[in-house]
Amino acid sequence: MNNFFNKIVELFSTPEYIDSLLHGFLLTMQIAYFALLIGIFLGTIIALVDVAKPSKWLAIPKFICRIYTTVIRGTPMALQLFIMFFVIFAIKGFPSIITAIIAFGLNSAAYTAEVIRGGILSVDPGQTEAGLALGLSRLTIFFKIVAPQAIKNIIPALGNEIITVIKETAIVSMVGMYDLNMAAKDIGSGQNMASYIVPMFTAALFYLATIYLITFIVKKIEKSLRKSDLRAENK
Amino acid sequence: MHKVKRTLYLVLFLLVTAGMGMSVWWSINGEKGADYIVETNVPFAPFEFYENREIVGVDVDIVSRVAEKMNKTIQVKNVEFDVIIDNVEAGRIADAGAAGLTITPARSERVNFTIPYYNSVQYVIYNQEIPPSLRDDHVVWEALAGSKLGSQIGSTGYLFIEDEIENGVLAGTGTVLKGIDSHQLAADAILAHIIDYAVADELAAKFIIDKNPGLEALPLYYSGATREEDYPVEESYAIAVNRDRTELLEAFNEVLSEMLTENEEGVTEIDRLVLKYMGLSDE
Repeated sequence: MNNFFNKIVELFSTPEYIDSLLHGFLLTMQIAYFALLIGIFLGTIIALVDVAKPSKWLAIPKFICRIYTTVIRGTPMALQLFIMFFVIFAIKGFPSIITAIIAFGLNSAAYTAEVIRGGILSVDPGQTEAGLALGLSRLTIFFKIVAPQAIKNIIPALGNEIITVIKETAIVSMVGMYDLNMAAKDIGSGQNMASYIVPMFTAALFYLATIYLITFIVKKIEKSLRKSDLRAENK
Repeated sequence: MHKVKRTLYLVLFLLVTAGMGMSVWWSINGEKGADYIVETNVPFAPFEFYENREIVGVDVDIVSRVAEKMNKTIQVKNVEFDVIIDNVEAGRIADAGAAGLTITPARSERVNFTIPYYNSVQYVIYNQEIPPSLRDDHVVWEALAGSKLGSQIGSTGYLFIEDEIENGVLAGTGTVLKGIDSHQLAADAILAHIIDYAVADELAAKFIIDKNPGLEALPLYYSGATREEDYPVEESYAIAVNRDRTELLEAFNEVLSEMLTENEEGVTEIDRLVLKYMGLSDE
């Protein structure tokens, strides 16, 4: 146990180790940030196609979207990453960070699509009918009546997805990228500290702190969206 | 008020995106446009390891010599150890692999190997409190029978153990082999009592026991008729080159034979580099 604390002190008193962790952390955040942007953008499109009123123009897009979410959600992220790196983007000199962002973005899109679809469907169809009865157009009904209520249901689940993506990016160390997880492995390797335990704990602290901050922000947003609700916690 | 707040959030979002985008752009600009790509697996000190997030080591020095000689740029890339041979064979994303790769018959069928540049022996790493039965200064395969063994997945140690369990001295003894992410993690697994012993290359093992007082390592031997006739589990490192890149193979061989020439003191360039990167010389 004494050895454990000595190693903690050693890690935090060596500027190179801290520098490595921060660089790794930056890469983790870069991948997660842009993957989430792609995920939310693509996910929204997929969800909208999925919940749209069936018509002959949408039959094929709807089918494609359903296949997409099934395949992406049905296969492990690690395998998708490997396929992206060693099959699809097996191009010499192609920057690995872009490959990683696309891999995580496409993965996140499938999950985000389901989250958004669920949020939209949770709004009672009677409200759409009421809107139609009042002579509003379908677009107006969606943007003024359905969307504001759907967002309230989407935000908590979306926060969940953000957290998942940030933590899941740790697997990019499998393809040799220097992320937070790889920084911990580097610091723990033979020519540095020669023990994985302490660097792994420190990397875990980085993840925990980031995710705590994000949870805090998501809770704030949730609360501001719910301020008109009659719930005990708001009183 | 509501409008102002919304605009502020939008501006904040755009600023963060722009900042993140720029940092990604910088990191991309740093890594493109090499004529050849050589894959490696970090950490495997002293042959390749990170120093301030740059890959350095003996293999990297060999590669940069070759780049100098050919007047081309060569990028060294870190990947998982077990995909290196696959990628070099396919030749789509890698031209060569320099990762302390041992020449084995199975690998030779798929890639071209350069001349060997380093001879290594396999070491057994064990917990000081629970040593295997020793034969003076070494351990024989028989001493590992019935235990739980671990090694970096795909490494020669791993392949050797697999062979012994399948049709060697460990066959039918109930010995279990676990493939672990790296030699270092295998050492941590011993301390966590997940495995009993780890098998690793000599230099990797020495690095690990040097920093972990609880661990000890001794060379692994095949047992001979008598104790004196036991012989070590040896291997030779070479660089794997794609079959179609003969010019690269030639350049590697030229550089390696230069670096393997002994100077007046009988020390080769490779020996000097190994000592340097192990922190054992003054350089």
